[in-house]
Amino acid sequence: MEYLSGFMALAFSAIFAASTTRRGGSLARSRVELALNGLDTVAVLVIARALMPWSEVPTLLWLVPVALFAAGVFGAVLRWAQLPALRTGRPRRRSIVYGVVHAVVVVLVVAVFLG
Amino acid sequence: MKRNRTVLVAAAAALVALVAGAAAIPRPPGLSSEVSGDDALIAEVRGRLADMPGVRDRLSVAVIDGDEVRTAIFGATDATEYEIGSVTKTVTGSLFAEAIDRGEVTTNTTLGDLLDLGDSPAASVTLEELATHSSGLPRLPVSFGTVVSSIVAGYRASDPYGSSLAELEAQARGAAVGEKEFLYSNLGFALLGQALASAAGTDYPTLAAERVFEPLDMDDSYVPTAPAELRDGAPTGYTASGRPSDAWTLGADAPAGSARSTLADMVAFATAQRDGTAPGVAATEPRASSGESGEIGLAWLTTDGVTWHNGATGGFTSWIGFDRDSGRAVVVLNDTAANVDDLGFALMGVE
Repeated sequence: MEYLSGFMALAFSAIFAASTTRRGGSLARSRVELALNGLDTVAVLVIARALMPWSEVPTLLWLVPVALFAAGVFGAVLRWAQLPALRTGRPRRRSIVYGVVHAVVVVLVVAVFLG
Repeated sequence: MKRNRTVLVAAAAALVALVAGAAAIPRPPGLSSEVSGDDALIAEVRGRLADMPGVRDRLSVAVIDGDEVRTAIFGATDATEYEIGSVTKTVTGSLFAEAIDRGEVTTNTTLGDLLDLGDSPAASVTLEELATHSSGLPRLPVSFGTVVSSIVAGYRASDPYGSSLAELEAQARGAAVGEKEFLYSNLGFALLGQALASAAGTDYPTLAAERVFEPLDMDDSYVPTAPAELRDGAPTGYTASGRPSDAWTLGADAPAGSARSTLADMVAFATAQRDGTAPGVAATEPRASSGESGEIGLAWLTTDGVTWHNGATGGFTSWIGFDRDSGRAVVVLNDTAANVDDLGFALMGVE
């Protein structure tokens, strides 16, 4: 579980970075989805920082998912203007409810760790 | 022009994310460089720890040969307080043997004789079965609530225990009793300690103080059952990932693992166990199989001639053991959740 959190941090930060590129566009089809990808990545980074046995691995490895996240932030700002607020072809209400529930759950998970 | 401005904003945002992430780089504690004690033992402990991965901070070690006590103390003194975790069970084992000597209980006394367990399966469990981990009770109470709270406590590095005695009894009433074979049970030892306190007409912390700590002059040892009962400046430790951990005081589960002690006190405890002068020392005598690990007395395990027990809480680990044939006893107290069993056995000469 401890090491899994590190792999998850790598995976989530990589997915976030990829979702800001043209090839990975299907990973975030709206601003809400892009923002949620970023929020998920922050949450998993918080969890990995808390759970990884950092005395057994080089702490500099932490900078790998951080760098991927920063690349994702760079790409997200560039892509932001090209995206619709909500995913097209999906009921507006469904997108909003999903986004709110998703964000609340992620914030609660982070609160458990930081609380 | 607008495109250039967007790229600048994106670069600035990425830089902020990168700097914030870099600032949050994990900084696990390392083995303290403030060292005192026997130079040869210090070098041996350092050398052995180099082969034992895990986060370290404060560590106190004592090797006792006859009357000679050698110590290796990293970042602490011999009066520094540690949680000793499940080494508390050896105190509970001593209390059981002592209660038998006093005629308060017998090995066949059942939990139902001393606690409010109604006609539940747990009521028929004997105290000896509890003390030898062969009661059939699970390691921990199993319910949706306890599983969720354990997971959350693990994530938060907080104490997953804290039941009242009434809640502990309710957990026991609801517990399934399985095969009467060795199965390490914290629930079983919590119930054993509470049953012994009931038989003596007092509470567990008082019983441990009056019958074990005071006779051995272990003035700095005590059993908190709530954070408010911790002494001033009571230290806390670190999780296996290096996060600060909350103190574990365990509530009614205290007899399974909430005692706090010091190197000096645990040296007195280990020496008295080795020399056969401790209250309830009969607890150290093997009386049942503990599976692959060897045999078990009343809490005390015996493996390859070494009588021992270990302990672990969210932020501490510990190990105590002795060998009456060689005359050696070892105490290891550690303020991180990294395992110290191998160090304890190695210092006993068992690799």
